[in-house]
This record gives sequence, structure tokens and C-alpha cells, in this order.
Amino acid sequence: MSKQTIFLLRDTSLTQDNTRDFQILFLKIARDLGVEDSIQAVRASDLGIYDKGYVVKDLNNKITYANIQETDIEKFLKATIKGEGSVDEFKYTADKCQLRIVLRNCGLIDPENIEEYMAQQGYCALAKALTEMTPETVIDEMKKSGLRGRGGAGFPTWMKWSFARNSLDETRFVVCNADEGDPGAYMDRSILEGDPHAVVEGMILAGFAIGAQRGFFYIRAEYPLAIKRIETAIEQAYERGLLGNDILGSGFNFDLEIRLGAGAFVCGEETALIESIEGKRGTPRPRPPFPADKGLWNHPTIINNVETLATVAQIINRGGEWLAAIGTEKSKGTKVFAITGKVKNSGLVEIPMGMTLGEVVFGIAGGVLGGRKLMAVQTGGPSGGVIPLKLIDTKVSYEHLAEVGSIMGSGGLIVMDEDDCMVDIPRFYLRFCVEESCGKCAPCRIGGFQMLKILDRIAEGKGVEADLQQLQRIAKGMQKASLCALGQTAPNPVLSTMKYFPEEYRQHVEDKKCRAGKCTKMVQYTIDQTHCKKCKLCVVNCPVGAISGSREAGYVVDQVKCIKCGTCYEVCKFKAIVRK
Amino acid sequence: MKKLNKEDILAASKTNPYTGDYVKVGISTCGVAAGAQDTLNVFEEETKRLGIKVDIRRCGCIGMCYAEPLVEVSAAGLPKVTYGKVDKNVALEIIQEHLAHGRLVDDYIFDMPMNR
Ligand SMILES: Cc1cc2nc3c(=O)[nH]c(=O)nc-3n(C[C@H](O)[C@H](O)[C@H](O)COP(=O)(O)O)c2cc1C
Repeated sequence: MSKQTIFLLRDTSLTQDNTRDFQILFLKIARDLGVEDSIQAVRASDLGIYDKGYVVKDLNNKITYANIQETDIEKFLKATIKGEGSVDEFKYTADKCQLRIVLRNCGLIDPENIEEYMAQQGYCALAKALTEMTPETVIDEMKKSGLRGRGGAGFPTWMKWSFARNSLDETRFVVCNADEGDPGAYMDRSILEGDPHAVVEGMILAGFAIGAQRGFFYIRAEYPLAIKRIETAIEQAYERGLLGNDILGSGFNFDLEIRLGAGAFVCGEETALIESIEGKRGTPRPRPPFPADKGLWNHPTIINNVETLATVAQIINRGGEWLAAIGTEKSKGTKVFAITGKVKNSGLVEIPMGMTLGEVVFGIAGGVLGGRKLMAVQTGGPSGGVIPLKLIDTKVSYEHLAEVGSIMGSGGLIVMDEDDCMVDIPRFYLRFCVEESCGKCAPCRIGGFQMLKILDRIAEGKGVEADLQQLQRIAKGMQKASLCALGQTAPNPVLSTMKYFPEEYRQHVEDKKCRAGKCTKMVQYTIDQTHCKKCKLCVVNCPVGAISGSREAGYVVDQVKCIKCGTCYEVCKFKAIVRK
Repeated sequence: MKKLNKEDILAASKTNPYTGDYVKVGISTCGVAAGAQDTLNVFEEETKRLGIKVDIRRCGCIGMCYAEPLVEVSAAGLPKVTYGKVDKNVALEIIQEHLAHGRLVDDYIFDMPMNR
């Protein structure tokens, strides 16, 4: 088989797909030019490039060409295959693309095979730290890198480590927070499943830096595969002397074990997590003292997120300055996001800090599902805020997201289109927080419940003007007086939607209307007989058989049976279903 | 097992475990939920049955969850490509076309720009 040039073809317009026609023409012209045997022209499913016309990617030479018209094909083939003329004008380089640091091995190596991790410089950082560095220089390197915690709060990692390092108490612990409870977020799970040794190596390095003897993985029991892979990784590390006594002959001893969480959101909060590992009920403790001072069994303990720890080995390998060169002034490195909701390419992306939300949603994730209009994005899960379309150029960084009333959080990013209701979404998050509140402190336990009751009332069309002020008042109380960040941040989704979508709240309260039709108590579906073509599509699709009638008499919706799912509204091709 | 030392670790970092033809299937929670285990089984059974010499490997999730199950194929003479939404039938097509005849399969290739 002679070596052929492989071209991937793709129509990247968001509204149509004429890749097949383009391929037929491409192959015909190749035949006319007599080069059909030296190429393959393959239809691709996705090239990660959107709205750039026809895109052709030369896989052998790794060059991408965009905006190629049908009339350009001949010129293109002559230039690329026969070397006659040039097609430099079509060359395309993606200006915004993912940068994989934490996820560099995910999807590349076999996570259950330590040799494959080691072939990617695995455990080189550990060898370097134990033989050439001191705990102080490791912490120094972390300081230079500017790495901040990826679990939500964004606390500088080196600072936490140096608090523990400088403690007089010499029994110290390292904990990996793999509780990941934010709805829609699963970055940590993917890292644990895809590159477990990177997290184990980060743990050992953290242990060395602070002078700890033991470390714990706190993983939620709902992640069986992640648990299995971490178990395997720990076992392999012990067998090779990377854990246990006298690691690499350095005299440093470190043991790692796993503790399972039972799936309570609040147990991701560091002090509740400590209680849980100690075998007690998982409720937060007042801080200070902070865990770095008095944590597990009252000994200095550092708690770091999975993603934070997965970055450590590379900082030691490549040097702190390397990471510090990526990102914004106050936010260094990359962040992994789990993009979900109404988005074309849902999944995990890792981007350098400082990229804008719009670039992430449209440039990397392919835009809104079905080419619809973006309404808002939500970051930070139940502790975060909703960011409207007009602020889509906000940069992804701790400081910029805080400026617009949201947070980086652990990395959930939910895309919403115009079918989403800006009262219903915060109601969902608040309900989550109310259900997950541990009940220890009153502001969170009572405040959350009362806010939810008001939101429920508004969604049922029974809201009054004063409810809006009451929401603000309770929110303030919760923010100021709750014991932990669960209660302090639970009002954020409500407050940010009230700030950016006041007219939507006003519609719900004054007009008793839900624009998106999500607050079902306020909507009614009826059939407009003048538009109805009697096709029966709604009758067939109604899941509860609420639509009946005949061609002669017309069709009607039985309001008692109707569950307001909106299926009839969606399937009707003649806009005969009226939603009010 | 022998305890490693620094030299062993540095030597290991220079090895390349990816020699020869391989098919790599993403086996993590999102992949498995989309049927990756079945896909993996098809590759293992069919390549054996047809006597195609290729390593069947596993890896974690590359992040393109909407396109799971994902499969990376590296066969001599062809560039490495990633196929998405690989169910049993697509897997059979990849074996027949890509592995047996050196022809890439239409409509399932995902090639996203990424810096590592
Ligand atoms: C209610 C609540 C839930 C939390 N859940 C998590 C979690 O699942 N994973 C996590 O890493 N941090 C979580 N945190 C943040 C932790 O308290 C802590 O800040 C973090 O683990 C510190 O690690 P980092 O400095 O590496 O970010 C949560 C905080 C709160 C208030």
C-alpha cells in the first residue's frame, strides 16, 4: 500500500451539513486530475472548528485549511498533491484551543498501568524532589507557580502548605478532596479514572513538602471505577517503593489510604470532611482554627482538590515559572470545566485561565444546541452565579468571575438557552442546597428553606412584590451568618438571576407568566383551531393521552389530564399549540 | 518486586509503550455508560477471529463525552485518528475498512485541536 495523503473534510456551518456533496465533488476532481490513488478524502464528524465554511485537514502534514469553496478544490489539489501553486491563503490555525496540562494523560495512557504513566515522565517529579530538593524549595516552586486551589475557594496552595510545614506539631496529614458533589460536575472523577497516578504523585509530593506521614483519599462511594483505579495505583506505587518507608532511599516515609464518602454534598467542605474521616457525622466546624493548623485528630492537615494535586508534579518537573506564564495576573495555569446543558459538545475541556466564557462555549464547545440563542451560562454550581449573554466576554479567572457575581467554583459550566427559565434554574440549585444542608447552623437551615418557599410561591404564580425584597433580606443573612460556605453561597444563583433578569421575576410576580413555560403551574396549553391542520401529531405524541377529538370536531387539550410537558408544543409543525 | 530508584524512573520516562498497531478504547464511567465495554469486546473478538495483529488497549476519558464511546486507531501507514460514537457496527466497520484495508471510515472521525 503506497502512502496516501489523508484529507478530512467537514462542512462547519452551524445550520447545514453538505459534507457529503463536497466529498463527492472533491473525489471527482481528484479523479479528473488523476490523483485519486494518492489521496483519501474522508468525511469527518467534528473538527472542532465552527462556521468557517468547508474545512479540509491534511492529516499527514497536520495542516488545516478553512473556507474552501467548491471552485477552489482543483487549485487546492494541484497545490497540495502536485505541488503546483500555493494554498497558503486557506491555511487556518485555531486561535483559541484547549491546553491540556491536568488532562494531558487522560485518554492517552492506560490508567491501570503504571509503566504507561512512567513513560510520560511519571514519578520524575517525585524523584527530583526527593533527591535534589528540600520541602522548602518544593513549597517555593509552588509559590512561584501561583497555583490556587481548584476546589472552589481558590486559596493559594503554597500558603496552605507552608502553614502546615511551619506548625510545631509534627504529626501531619494530607487529604485529597475527591468528594465532588456539585450537580453536573465530574472533572475530578475523570482525572481519577484517567490519570490516577498523577494524583497519587501529587499527594506524595504534598506529603514531602509539609512533612506528613500519612495521606487520605476522600472519594465519594458513587465513584466505584475511580476508587478501583486509585486502589490499583496505590498498590502499584507500594510495590515499587514509591509509597511506604524510605521512598527512593531518601528516608522519607509516606502511607496512603482511601476513605469513602457517602455522597453528602456538605462532606466536600473541608471541616465536615475531616469530621467524616474521623468517623463522626459530617458537619462543618467553625474556622479558625483552620485545618492547616488543627485538622484531622487536631493535627495539621492540608486538604486539596484532585485537580490541584494533579497539577503539582508538573510544576515540580517544569518549574513554577512555567505555570506562572499561563493565565491572568491573579489566576495561573489552566482550569478544567465540565460543560453541560444546552451545548453542542458537552464534556470536559481544559482551558488556559483568561480565555473568555464566549470563546469556551462557542469556540471550543461548538455553541448552543440546535443553533439556538444563548441566554446565560452558570458557573460554580449551587454556590455560583448565572452570567447573562451580555457578559459573555467575561474572562475565566477567579477575579473576573467574582466581579460579575459568580465564582470559578469547582468547574461546572452550564449553558442555558431561551427555553430556560431564570426563576426555575436558581430554584433548582437552591432546592439542592436546602436538601444538602446539614442543619447545624440556623441561617442555612432556616434561611434556605424560607427562600425556597418564596421561590416556590413565585413559580406557582402566587408571588407578591414584597417577596422579592424578602428574598434579598434572607440572602444577606445567610451570606453573613452561615457557618460554612454552603449556606454562605447558597443564595448566589438567586441573587445573580435577580440582578441580571429582573424583568423575568417581575413577569412571574406581576403578570403571573413564565416566558419559558417551565413554571408549569402558570402555563396552559390549548389548540388554536384556525391553525390546526388536524395532523394528529400532538395526539400521538402526548404521553398521557390528554388530547382528544376528531377531524370533524377538532382536537382539544384536557386540562385536568395535561402534565404540561410541552411535547405537543414542540412537535406541532403549524404553531397551532398555544402556550399561555 | 524490586523497589525503584531514581535511575529506574528516569530510564522509564524514556520508554515508548506505543510501538506497533493499536486500537485504544476509552474505558471510564462516561464511556462505559455509552457502551464502551461492548465496543472493546468487539475489537478483541473480531480482530482475533480475523487474525489481524493489533494491540487492543484501554485508556481513560479524553473529555469528549458527547461522542463516547471513543476509539483511537493507529495502524501502520496511516495517521492516528480518533473515532467517536463507536458502537458495535461502527467497530466492525473500522476493523474491516481501517485495519484490514487501510481505508478510513467516513462520518465518525473527531479531530479536535488541542495543545498538550
Ligand atoms: C458545601 C461545600 C462543598 C464542597 N465540596 C468540595 C468538593 O467536592 N471538592 C473539593 O475539592 N472542594 C470542595 N469544597 C471546598 C473545600 O472546602 C476546600 O476548599 C477545598 O477542598 C480545598 O482544596 P483546594 O485548595 O485544592 O481547592 C466544598 C466546599 C463547600 C462549602
